Amino acid sequence: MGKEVVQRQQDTIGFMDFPRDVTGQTRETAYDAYNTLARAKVQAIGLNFEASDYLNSTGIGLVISLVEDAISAGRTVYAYGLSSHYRKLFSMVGLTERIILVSNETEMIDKCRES
Amino acid sequence: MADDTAGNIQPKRVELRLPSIIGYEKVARSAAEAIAQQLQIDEGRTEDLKTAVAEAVMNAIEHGNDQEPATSVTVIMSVMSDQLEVRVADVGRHPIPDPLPTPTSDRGWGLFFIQHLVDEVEISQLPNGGNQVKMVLRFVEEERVIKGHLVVAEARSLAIELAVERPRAILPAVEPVRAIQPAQPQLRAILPADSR
Repeated sequence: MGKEVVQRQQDTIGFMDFPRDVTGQTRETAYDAYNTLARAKVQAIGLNFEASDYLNSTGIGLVISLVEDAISAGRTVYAYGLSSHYRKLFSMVGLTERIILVSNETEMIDKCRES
Repeated sequence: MADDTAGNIQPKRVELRLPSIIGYEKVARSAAEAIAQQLQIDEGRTEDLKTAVAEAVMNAIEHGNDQEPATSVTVIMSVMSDQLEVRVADVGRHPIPDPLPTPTSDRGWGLFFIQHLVDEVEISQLPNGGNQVKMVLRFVEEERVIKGHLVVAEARSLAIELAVERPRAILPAVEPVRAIQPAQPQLRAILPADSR
């Protein structure tokens, strides 16, 4: 597993696959991935943390920045693959009020189709 | 190194000396997890402890020691009869702000997490000028009893030195313990968690 954030696209949905460690060192590739998806004009972004088992406060700060940028550009942000602990941390920093937590990518795609 | 009366090894005091290199906070995080598992602390509280310890070490590396290679971060984990104490000390290149900063959108969440994930936090300045963050996780009743034996505070210590290439810069191991008595004037913050 690399240390980079990898982007994928499916129709108007973009996905960002986060690495095992999400820290300040993740910022550059995370924004590269986000900017690629933004240029592709995706309407929703899924933050995939299924491979992540360590998010520190700087990494969570990075997620906050990405979410702020995405929402201000009119995109809906989903997140999945988070353990209950990181769901709690996301709640503590207010992220869960701004993003939609889903259990996996399939659920996210279903919700995008419904909306 | 440990009390084996209960049939399982229980280190009472673990000391880590970590280089001021980003990434080594994960060593402290793993050590905290191992101790919490030995104490049979439940998974959620173990995760809280791991995050709090990692964040305190990250702060020490990044700010307290300014990532200066000649410095190290000392982590002392002590198992008491009713609580686990973790002390993280640095050399104080930059003092921890007083009052603690309010997190901005993408910065400053480390101390916020520490305050909210453990039962008690004390931030103090050591006599040598270093910062110390003491975190306490109080045991609930079922955690206090390990296989029918109460964990006792008196024990020998286990010192683990990891990747210490410049030992002359290491903080004295006993200094933080003496420096953090609750009544001491340099103690400036006691922050009970409010979200448990």
